[in-house]
Amino acid sequence: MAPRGRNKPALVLSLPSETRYLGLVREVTKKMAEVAGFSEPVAERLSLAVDEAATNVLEHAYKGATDREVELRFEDRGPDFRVELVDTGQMVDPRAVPQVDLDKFVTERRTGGLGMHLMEKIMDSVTFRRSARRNVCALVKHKDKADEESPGR
Amino acid sequence: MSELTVESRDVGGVVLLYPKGFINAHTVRLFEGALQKAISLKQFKIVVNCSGLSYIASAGLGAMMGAIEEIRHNGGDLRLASLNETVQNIFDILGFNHLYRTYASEAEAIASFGPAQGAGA
Repeated sequence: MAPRGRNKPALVLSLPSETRYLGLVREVTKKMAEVAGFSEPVAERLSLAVDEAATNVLEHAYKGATDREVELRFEDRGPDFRVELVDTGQMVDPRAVPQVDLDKFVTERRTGGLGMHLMEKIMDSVTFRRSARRNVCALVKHKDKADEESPGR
Repeated sequence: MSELTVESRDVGGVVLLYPKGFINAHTVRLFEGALQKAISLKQFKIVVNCSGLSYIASAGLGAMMGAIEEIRHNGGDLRLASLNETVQNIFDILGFNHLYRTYASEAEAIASFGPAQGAGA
């Protein structure tokens, strides 16, 4: 069990920057979210958000290069479930992507920005920072009564 | 184990696509290819039967968005059937229910296009 009130990651994974690992990212995220106490439907949604964040790294920071690494840090902070994705690719500002307008998706065939939109809808907080030539995307979901399973799970 | 397969069949002028597995940035090309194949064959009435679809990420939704204009411009539509809770949930989050018609069953989705050879609703 992750220590409460400490920032020590409960799990750190380093994965090659290949889309073939996105399924694994999703599975691990779902499991970690369930261990942190989220119900399966919520854990499913959290796994989607992390899949989208990882996809952003592969497509935008690494621009499809498959010889890099993506680090994932899962942390159960007690009241918060936190996932950080760390990459050494180009600095990207996902906020620069225009806000999603579903009508424009049809009329203008715009398909970008959906992943960011999903991440923000699912998570309570999505932040990006640049630190020591690394990009860090932090996804945080607060736990609440409705999301938690019985203690000990 | 295959991560995604997409079988298709034609029922009275409606193309049925059966994605089985999950659609994310890794598998989306296969799904996109199936959509584009239908379009290239001028089969614009498309039903995606999602009963075997465990999960769809934005890449898959983007593939549908990328195809929908041409499909509708040609008098067709892309409709979905038998979404599981996870996929339905993703649609709800994005508000996709306003963009795509979804049906509880494949038969209902097919019927929604009207009689064979008829115009799309």
